[in-house]
Amino acid sequence: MEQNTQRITLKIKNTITRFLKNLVYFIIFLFLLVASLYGATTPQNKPIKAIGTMQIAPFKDGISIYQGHTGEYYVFSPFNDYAINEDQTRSSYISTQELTDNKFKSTFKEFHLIEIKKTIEGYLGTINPSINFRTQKNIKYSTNINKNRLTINTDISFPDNNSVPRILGSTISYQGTDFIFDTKGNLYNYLSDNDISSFKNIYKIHLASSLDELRIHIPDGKIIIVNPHMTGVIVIRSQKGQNLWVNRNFRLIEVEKMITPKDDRYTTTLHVEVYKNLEEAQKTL
Amino acid sequence: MINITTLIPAIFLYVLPTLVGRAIIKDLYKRSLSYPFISYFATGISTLYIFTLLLNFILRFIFPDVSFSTFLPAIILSFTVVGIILNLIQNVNDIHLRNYILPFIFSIVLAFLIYNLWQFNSPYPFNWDIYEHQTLVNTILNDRFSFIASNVTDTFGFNGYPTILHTLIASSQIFFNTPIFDYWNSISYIHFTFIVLASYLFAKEITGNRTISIISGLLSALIFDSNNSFTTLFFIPQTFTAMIFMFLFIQLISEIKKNRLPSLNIIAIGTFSLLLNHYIIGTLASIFYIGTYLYYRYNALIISYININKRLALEIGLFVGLLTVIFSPSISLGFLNNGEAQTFTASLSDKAEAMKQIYGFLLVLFVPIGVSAVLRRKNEIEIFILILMSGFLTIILLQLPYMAKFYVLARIFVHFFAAIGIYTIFKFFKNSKLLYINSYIFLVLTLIGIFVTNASNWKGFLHYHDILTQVSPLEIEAADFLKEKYGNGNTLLVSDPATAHILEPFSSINTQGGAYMNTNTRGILDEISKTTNTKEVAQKLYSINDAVNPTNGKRLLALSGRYFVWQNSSKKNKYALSYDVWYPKDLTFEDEKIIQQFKEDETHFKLIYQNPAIAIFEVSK
Repeated sequence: MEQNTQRITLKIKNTITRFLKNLVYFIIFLFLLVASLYGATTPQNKPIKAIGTMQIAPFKDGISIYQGHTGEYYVFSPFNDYAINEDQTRSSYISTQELTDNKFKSTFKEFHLIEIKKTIEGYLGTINPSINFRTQKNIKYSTNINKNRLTINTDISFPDNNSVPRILGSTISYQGTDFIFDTKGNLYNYLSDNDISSFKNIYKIHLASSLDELRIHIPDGKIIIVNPHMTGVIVIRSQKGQNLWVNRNFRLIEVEKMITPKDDRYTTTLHVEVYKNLEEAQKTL
Repeated sequence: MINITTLIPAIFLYVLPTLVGRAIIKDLYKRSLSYPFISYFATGISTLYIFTLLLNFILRFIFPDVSFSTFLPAIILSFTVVGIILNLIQNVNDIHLRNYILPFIFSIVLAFLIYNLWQFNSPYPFNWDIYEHQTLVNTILNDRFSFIASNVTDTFGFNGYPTILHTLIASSQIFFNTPIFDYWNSISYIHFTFIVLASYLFAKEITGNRTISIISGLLSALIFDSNNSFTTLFFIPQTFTAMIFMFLFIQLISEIKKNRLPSLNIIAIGTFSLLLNHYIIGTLASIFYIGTYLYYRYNALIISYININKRLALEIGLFVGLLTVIFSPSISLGFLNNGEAQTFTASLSDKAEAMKQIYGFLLVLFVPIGVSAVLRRKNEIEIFILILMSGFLTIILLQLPYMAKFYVLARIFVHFFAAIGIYTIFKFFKNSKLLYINSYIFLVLTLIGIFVTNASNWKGFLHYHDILTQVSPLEIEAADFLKEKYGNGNTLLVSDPATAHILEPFSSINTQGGAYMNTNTRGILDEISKTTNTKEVAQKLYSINDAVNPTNGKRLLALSGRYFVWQNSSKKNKYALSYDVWYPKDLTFEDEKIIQQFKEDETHFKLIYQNPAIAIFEVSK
């Protein structure tokens, strides 16, 4: 009886020892596999998603809409987005000083295995572009995309109650050569008469320059952007409770929202649509 | 789209030569031959091609008025009928399908899954070369046939291979009205299946170990050599030649393991088919193939010699290899192929970076383990394979043009050692079924991770609307319009190299050289971009012509988004064969302004078609 017990105990011990030995080799194997994967090169911008005829992806300064290899970008960035305090001072989410001193962190570059995971998810289309920035504030940009409609959600928390803003401004940058106009045909960017005339010839839309002010409020909340080097039309529409501005000084479209001070995070949204052409865009305006 | 109807012509490309070859050589041999199908295939493709060449030559003298495009279908049909009848009356003692069924199913399923993963969100194949190959096929089908590709179409300026593969493709397209992209997707998938099967069988023949074979097959399927060689996913002459080499080599090893060798005739037909399919890849493949045959034929003599001077032989080999790699950069061959060769000359660090993109760190971790296991085992054939792999890698590491292309041959050897390396670790816990199964799962997941990151990098610049592609549906629509109105007529289409490259095979309208247009045409296009005088532009367009298939008919000018990107590039890029606008681009406002100038000159430029990607004008002098 005792011998039997001893035999059984020995057998169990041997089985456990063998399994542990196998497990150690298995873990070594897993480690080698992970190390193999670690060497894989990931693309710089991930994920890239389509929005109409254009693409959207995270870049080191935020999230950008672009098209192929034109080298021109429509940027949603904490270096442009801003808050206006009670005393009417305007400050961007990440200041020039913080930018110069590199006093911020972002999720543009993360631990390599996470980058690999994002690359795979991006390839399969299971995630949308997003990026987080951290200074004293926590700023998170996330996107929802439905065919040609994009919603950029900006989630921000402020470090202390003293700096709680009254207005938050979400922005999108534009190019110096863009046609920026409203539904009445007022053109808010300086372009040559030749270009305005060609625009009329090609698209049958008459634009009239409206350049008296540097910052213009758009009452009906709709702005149309046509980039002469890209295909497609960008339409920005403000929602209820938002005000739309064209800021010619900074080349920004600004969508402002008044906020009620509270301790939590604040969220603003910006709605962008990308159409194949002006004809398609005009049907919705 | 790949489905059974699109697969039929692709399968026909392989079945017809195999039937023909089997009818010719099966009963010539008294004893059975390992993997006879590759010998049948090699015999069949060579026979079909030589017969077609001879008949074309003879008929040109006897019946000069009968066009080649008339008798090609007759040749193919005759071979098909005769091939089927002769095969039916021969006995089937050489067909041992049972041995191949499971590996074949494994390869078909794996290739299908991975091919679809590669083509995820992408309607068209990514093989940029299919346009020039289809152009050559179209020209053959339209009555222009020659051994020399550059005599058939000016799209081929450099003759790296004769027109054998194009003749086979023409044979498989001639009776089936398969859309071009569907055909190329299907033939690429079939090719992929064979490459995976070859990797499995290669490992199986050498080691007899099913696990190593499966791992080798998985590596073959899930590693895409996305730089120069493109072994699995691109069906092109170099990869087709590599596939033939792989199966010939498997046959040779299988015979060696049975202590016998194929006859000289079998070796000769195999070598001939390699050389006939690609001069450069075929030559190196033949050297290794014949070298292996000779090594085992005169094995006793060689072994006795090396046994005496083994150390010296090894030292000399390593020394010579190192010297050639170090001093190869001083040999300047960048002038080859009109300067395109310079782009294909990579430094050691470029090659290392490319391998890292393809494999991550998998090679550097597992191949040494595999090599060390083989050296410990001291199996003679495995050691010989190691020497061959070292030879291949030395050649690939040379900093000369096109060397990286030879990886198409080396790949199967490298994966063999990686598979042994992986198996060496597997062995330690194979007693535990749970861990063993999990190890397969994690291996597959890792390989998928490496594959997808590699694919993401490779395709990164090809985002177009909501797909990943090198061509846009709008460009194909334009080509369809052109085919209907002007196809096979006496018309020359002029555009930037990439647009011409794409439109030519789909529209059946000739261009001057496609992506390989000559410097004269590039110069004229450059001049056109600098003038607003549309009358002058019209005259210049009529000075462009195809030297191989000259046309005195109408000129069409295609102004695409790509055209304008190309016109805005530097002069250096415009004259470079290696520079093209590889991605699709729609027309912009700036492009429309220029198009408007041509529209305003209705005397010389009549707009015949426009969509958001391209405007096409018929040009009058």
